[in-house]
Amino acid sequence: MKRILTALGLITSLYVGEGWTRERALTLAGSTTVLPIAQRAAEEFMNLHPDVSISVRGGGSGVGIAALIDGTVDIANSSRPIKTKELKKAREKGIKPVGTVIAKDGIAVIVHPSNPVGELSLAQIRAIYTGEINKWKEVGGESKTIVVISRDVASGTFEVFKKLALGGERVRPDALMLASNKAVATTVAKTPGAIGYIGLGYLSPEVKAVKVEGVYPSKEDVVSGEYKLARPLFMYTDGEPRGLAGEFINFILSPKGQKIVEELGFVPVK
Amino acid sequence: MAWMVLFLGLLGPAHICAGAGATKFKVYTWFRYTMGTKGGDIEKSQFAVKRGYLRWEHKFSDAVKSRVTVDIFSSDEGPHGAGLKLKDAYVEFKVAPEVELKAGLQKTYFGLIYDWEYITVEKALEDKQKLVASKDYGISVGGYLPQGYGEWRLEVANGEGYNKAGKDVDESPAYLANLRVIPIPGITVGASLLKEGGDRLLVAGTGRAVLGPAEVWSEFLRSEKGDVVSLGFMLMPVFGIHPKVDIVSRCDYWDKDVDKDGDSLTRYIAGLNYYLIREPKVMVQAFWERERQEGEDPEDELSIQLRWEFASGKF
Repeated sequence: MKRILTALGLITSLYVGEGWTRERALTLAGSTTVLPIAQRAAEEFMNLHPDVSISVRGGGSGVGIAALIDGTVDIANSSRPIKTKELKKAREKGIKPVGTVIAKDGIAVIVHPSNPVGELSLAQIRAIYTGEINKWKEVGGESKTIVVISRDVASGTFEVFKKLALGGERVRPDALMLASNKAVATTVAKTPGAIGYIGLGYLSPEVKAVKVEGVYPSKEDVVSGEYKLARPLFMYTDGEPRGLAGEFINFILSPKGQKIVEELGFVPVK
Repeated sequence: MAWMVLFLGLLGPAHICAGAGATKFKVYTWFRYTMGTKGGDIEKSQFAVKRGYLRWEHKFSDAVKSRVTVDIFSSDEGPHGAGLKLKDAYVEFKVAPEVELKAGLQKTYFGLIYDWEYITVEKALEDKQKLVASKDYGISVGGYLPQGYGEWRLEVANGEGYNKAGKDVDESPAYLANLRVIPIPGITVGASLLKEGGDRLLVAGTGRAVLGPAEVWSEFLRSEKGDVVSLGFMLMPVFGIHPKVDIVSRCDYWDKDVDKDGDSLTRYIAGLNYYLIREPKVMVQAFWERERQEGEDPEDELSIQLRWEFASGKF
């Protein structure tokens, strides 16, 4: 038994030794909507600062915030504000989550380009997603059955869409729940009767964005507040952004960083 | 109690029948080597799987979710060399913003036991001294204070705990109240009360202070059962000396009957946690524990535990 314990001790000390190396590093995790902004900004930032290593992971807003609370990341990317339960956990651990809005995003409701429907009210969107409306002809379209596509429940986009468009109501059980904005766009592009929703940055000519309450999801109308399905995108830090995390967030808020935001189809905040 | 049951009867099925939702699962396991000595003689030296939990959680809607957890364990006490215990079996309803109602086998919202994270391999003091069980059958209502300033809960439960059912449960329900407040980030204070029948009263005061990599947990307990009053406390400092390593020590004191001499107990624990992976958790725990019953030889125990978990989603 002594030999086993000695071996365990050796293995443990090897692992411990490995983790003691220090470097100028930054770790981010969270929202898949914020992910492309974080990744592009990280690449540019590392080009400007060769001594810096930035690791960016997805996982969803909830995963990112949990990691910030556990102290395993420096920045949590989130496409929704932090929840009370998460705030309580953070406060218990002495973490003070501070959210910085780095961009705004409109959630575009999309249909197949061949679909003649070009406008929907929030009430109609809610009725489609909760199962009250099943045919396109009920909203001025053809007699096709509506194929409802949604993001999965771990996504911040899903939570915001549910809150803003569905008034908190549950998505119909036969909806197809997909894991990314890209998957939703691809599926709607291939399915003539489909309806879905994606971040503005994922709009392409292969899908058609419909007007919501008479307003097209343009960047101008997201900024002005005219477009109703819009949300801020956050980077959460423990306390006000400082050190390397502060430098990185300031970079995203700089003209160069906000240009990345715009190039990716999101709405700059500066 | 009747109004709660009626409410659940009306509300529950309406939500549950509304359609399918999302299901996730989690598995967590403890594999432990233990060496126990008393008066210098080795009394125990063995490997064991101390815990094998399987947990399922199903979200019917934003307002309704359910959790079931079973503990599968090896045991030579039964005829088949294994055992099975139900640890959670409840449904949770969101009844108002930041307020939820739980019905079924659920946590006992008392002291530190309900979110005890096993920072050492040892149980919470109220669990170790068998004052309350970690889970119980009952109904509870609770929620969060605004802006994450804390949490509260009221509970009605059997009082005997999850491993007692049927004839081992008396007619008196236990009433629990729990409040935790976080006045400033890193400082948590709490108070809990459990009252069962006319002669059992249990009170806990808890505290947790976190400053950077250092934190201290503390708990004071007072138990009154008939004419017997017991008192005790626990103090547990934790130091994160590295992102992967915490050093932990703990001191327990328990006086079983304050009016009698010679029945107090002290317990000292020291060791470390090494996190190979923080999330999902894969860690090694190595702890030494000394327990001394007043007037007796101390008992020492060395535990080295590999603990791991995995899940299909975030719990």
